[in-house]
Amino acid sequence: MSLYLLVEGDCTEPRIYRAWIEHTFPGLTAADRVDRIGPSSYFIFRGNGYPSCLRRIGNALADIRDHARVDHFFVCVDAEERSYDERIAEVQAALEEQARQTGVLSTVPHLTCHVIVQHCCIETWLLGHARMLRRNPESTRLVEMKAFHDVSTDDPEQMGRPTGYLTRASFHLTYLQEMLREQGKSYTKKNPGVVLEPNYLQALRQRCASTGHLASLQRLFTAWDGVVPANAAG
Amino acid sequence: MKITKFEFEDLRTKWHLEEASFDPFNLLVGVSGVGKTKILEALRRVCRLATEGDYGPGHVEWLIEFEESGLHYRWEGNTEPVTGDIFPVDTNNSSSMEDVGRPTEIAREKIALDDHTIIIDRTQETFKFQGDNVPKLKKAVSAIVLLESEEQIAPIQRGFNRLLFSAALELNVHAFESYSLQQIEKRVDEYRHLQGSRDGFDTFRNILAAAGLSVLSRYIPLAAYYLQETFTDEFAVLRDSFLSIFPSVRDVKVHRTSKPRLGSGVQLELNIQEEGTDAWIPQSEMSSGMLRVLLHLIELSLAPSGSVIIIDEFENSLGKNCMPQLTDFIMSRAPDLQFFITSHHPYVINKIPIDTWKLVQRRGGRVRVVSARDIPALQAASHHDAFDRLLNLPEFEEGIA
Repeated sequence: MSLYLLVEGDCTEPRIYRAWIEHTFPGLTAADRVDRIGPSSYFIFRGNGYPSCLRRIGNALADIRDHARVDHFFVCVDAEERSYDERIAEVQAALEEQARQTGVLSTVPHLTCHVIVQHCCIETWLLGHARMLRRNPESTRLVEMKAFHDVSTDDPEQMGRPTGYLTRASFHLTYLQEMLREQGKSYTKKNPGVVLEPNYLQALRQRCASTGHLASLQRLFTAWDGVVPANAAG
Repeated sequence: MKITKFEFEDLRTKWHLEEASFDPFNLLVGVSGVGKTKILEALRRVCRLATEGDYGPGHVEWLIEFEESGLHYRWEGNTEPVTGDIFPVDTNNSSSMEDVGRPTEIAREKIALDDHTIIIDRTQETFKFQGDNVPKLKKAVSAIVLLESEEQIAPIQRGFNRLLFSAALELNVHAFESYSLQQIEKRVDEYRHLQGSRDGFDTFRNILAAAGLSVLSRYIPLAAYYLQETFTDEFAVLRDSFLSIFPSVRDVKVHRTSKPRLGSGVQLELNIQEEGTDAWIPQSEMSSGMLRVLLHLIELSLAPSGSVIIIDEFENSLGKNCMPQLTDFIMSRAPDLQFFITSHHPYVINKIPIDTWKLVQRRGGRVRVVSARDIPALQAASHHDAFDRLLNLPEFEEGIA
């Protein structure tokens, strides 16, 4: 079983997906180029932002058609300021069009395509580790953030942004950094740190399962659970 | 301080910025030569007029509206060259936009509070402060400087002192200052006492900003040293941010050296330590990109709430490996600060929401600033990158006429 992930971000997503794939599919090894994707490997390609990422779908599918043996193709993007359904529809439409144009499904009929939308960004998912937000935060900033939206009890995907923040994603990133800082941990786009660990991924799985929160992340877990032998689930 | 409107004319060069409205975050975009940098320069000239007693802005007319401490102010006026100018400047060959040293005097000046209370009403013949005549004062100096101690004026000047023109693009940070060790340690002690108070860090930042330490490139190592020695948690955040941008760097510090030739003085210098070596690399040997990122991080960390951060071509010298993180850092401070940033870089322009863009256009000497919210083509749904959409705008392509 082999995976090809086209991820929107250049920096954070490749690191996080790589770590989480290795926890979830311990039998898979990373391929460093597309023609080396074997029967038990995964490959991550950086999409250089959105909508640039959409323009790379066609090339990725053409590579799969011509050079690689891939069973599952994932396109992973942020919803950002768009609604979840709008972003899913945009990517799905681009994916279907490019699949038709490249004819990849004629050559690789077993290929399954998945659209994963991080709603609104990958940091939103990471805010779902409920035990990482202290019951009584110390920093004034985190107190204000928790009062605005308590991510330990309310669905992080439903969180907007306070006045002054330019985007929801910018607020979610700042919230995550503040939350982890109070735990003595740091999170940066280049060094995501603790979120790469298996326990963190497990806590997010539990959050999805027990609360129904983070529906967009659950979609990833569901897709992964469908392609992985049960005894290898992370 | 929050600047809401600005109009400026250099009456000598006939360069005229039409009245423009501004938001808390402003990304100035437009073709090269359209006047983005000149808008920032014009802000600097007005700011200097409001804060310096010995500064001549040249022959200019200005109008600026801003909010400070919950109040809305409008300050407008114009200068005139002093008759019998003994330093005649050849206006046809003067390359600088600014006539530094060219004597001017205030011909008209007016400050209104909340649109109805006139605080200052000044002409060449009369000078009224809150309706009362004021004795004749220096004609070359703004009322904000002349009356800075008055309680109605002090907040205005405090506001202008919060305009922080980034020094990160200047390379003269290599200039070393010799400081008195005793004085530095005395200050460190004072600032440490602020740690326990609720707004201690902001008070500390206000002190540094008022002294200009965080934006004058030659003083940045001193400001960073105070931060390192007093607010260690905040310094650690700054260091972590830098390390995350440059994973090959293990540590950052402000190094204090005593050299015999300095007598009792000391020098301060930014230092980094790379992975795999114990040696510290001084700022003079850092790559210019690394140094600029570090300077930006120091400035942004030290800017007190309510500051106006002005950065011209912020991507200069920055590689693709540092731009995303630095842009994120800037955006994370957007709730507390006002930003005026110019950029040509696709990454920066794509990353910062379209609604914050201000498209600059020029017709001869007249410059207009149009909010992207008022450009229908930028509001329509599109699959193209934001930067590509900008390049395809007629308003952008025909930015200069």
